[in-house]
Amino acid sequence: VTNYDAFAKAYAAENETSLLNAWYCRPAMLDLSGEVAGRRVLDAGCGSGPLTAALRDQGATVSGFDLSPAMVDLAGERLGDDADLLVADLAKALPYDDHTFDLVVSSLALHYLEDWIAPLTEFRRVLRPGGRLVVSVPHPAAYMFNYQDRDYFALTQYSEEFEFNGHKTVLTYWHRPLHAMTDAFTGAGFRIEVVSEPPWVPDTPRELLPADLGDRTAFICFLFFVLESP
Amino acid sequence: VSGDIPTAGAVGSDLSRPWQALSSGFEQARAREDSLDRLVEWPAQRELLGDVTGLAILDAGCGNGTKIVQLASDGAAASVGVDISGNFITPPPGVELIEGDLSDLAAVPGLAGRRFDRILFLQSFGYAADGVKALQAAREMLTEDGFILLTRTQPIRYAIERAEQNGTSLGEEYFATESFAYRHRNWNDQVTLTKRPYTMSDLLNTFSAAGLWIEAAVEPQMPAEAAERYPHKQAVMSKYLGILIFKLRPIPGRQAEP
Repeated sequence: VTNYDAFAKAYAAENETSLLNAWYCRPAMLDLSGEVAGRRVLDAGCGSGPLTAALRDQGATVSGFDLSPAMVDLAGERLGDDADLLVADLAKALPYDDHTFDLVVSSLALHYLEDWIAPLTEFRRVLRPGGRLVVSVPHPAAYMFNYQDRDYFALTQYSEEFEFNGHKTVLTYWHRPLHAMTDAFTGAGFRIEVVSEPPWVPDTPRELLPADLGDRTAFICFLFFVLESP
Repeated sequence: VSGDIPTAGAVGSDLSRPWQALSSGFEQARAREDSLDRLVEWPAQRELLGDVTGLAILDAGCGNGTKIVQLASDGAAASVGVDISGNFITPPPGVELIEGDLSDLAAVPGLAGRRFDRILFLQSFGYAADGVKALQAAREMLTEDGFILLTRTQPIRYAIERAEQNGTSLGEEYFATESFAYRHRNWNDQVTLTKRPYTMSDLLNTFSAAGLWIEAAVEPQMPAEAAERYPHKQAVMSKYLGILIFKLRPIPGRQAEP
């Protein structure tokens, strides 16, 4: 798993304003989370807490964890000392009681893991029956379109180089084909309620959008799922 | 809203009936030993169906009926195939092949009130006038432990093909909303299909809207031995992908949305 401590501040700064985070992924996660006022919500892989804070602003009682202590520190600065934030590993048992949450959100976190069953099983455990999980992951078609010589069908680890606020870093994650995603959800006992490939939000600054998009309102980037824990 | 519609590209005795021309073109293509249906799709579908002994099976969009006859010979009871072409092989006893529209299975002559353990939409779902309604009708015809087996071409495939043809970007084609003309070179290139584009979310959301959940999904690949024997077909699979197969069950205690 990528160590975020080394570039936590740079990543967090980028995340505040970038097209893919601020104008696409975060609003989509919020929209798919539905009405959260009065709900207990866990942000699994919260990073510096921008989504956690947005959910709290809408009236949710929020908890969050991240693997990176530096990220959790930044989330604490954002949310305040009394916020329920922990350093925890998505791949291991989570430090929460059974049936604690109405909603778990996990934005762009699962794709760092080879195995999805363990974390999804933990999400189910900490969700109340009837609770929901909202996740975003890289779109499986994006891998196909970006790397046309690679094998779409195989679960494959790959790396990409990014520059966050001027800091170059390499992120390493797992490609999995669509059926491997839906089978992992089913295997952990979730049911797919909604799959989403949403547009970016309408007030996105035009200069952030690629110049060649024409009149399109959507691009292939992430895939979003709303899952129910029956 | 309408399903994929074939139109004849030229006037002729055969092509004045485009469904029939399309159906027989498909069957001819399938009869070839290197057809992807034969090498990849049917084996994967058959594996998901498992033991069919004594089961009532409905093949919605059965083409000439070859697959439902195969299932009957594997032990299925009370097997029915429905296809709009009406171009059928002579069925053995115990198999009914009925000319009808899979868009509303309950309205197909002889099917009202019947129940099936397995309902199949094998590369036929795109022809339904309204996918949600077609699945709702099928859902109502399932027995208690029944499931629907549905296959659909990976939407990535059409995006890649059309981006190549049109010189456009993959994202542009993947999210296109205008219907497009499509010709199956291996079936009958005189028949033009008018296809609705769809994305992964379009397809998967159809299932939940019809009150169904995905118990299993498969993206079948070519077996290694076949890939070695037919490298040109393996190349097609690697570049364009193939189909998605879904095993769908009714969501318990939830009526389909109206």
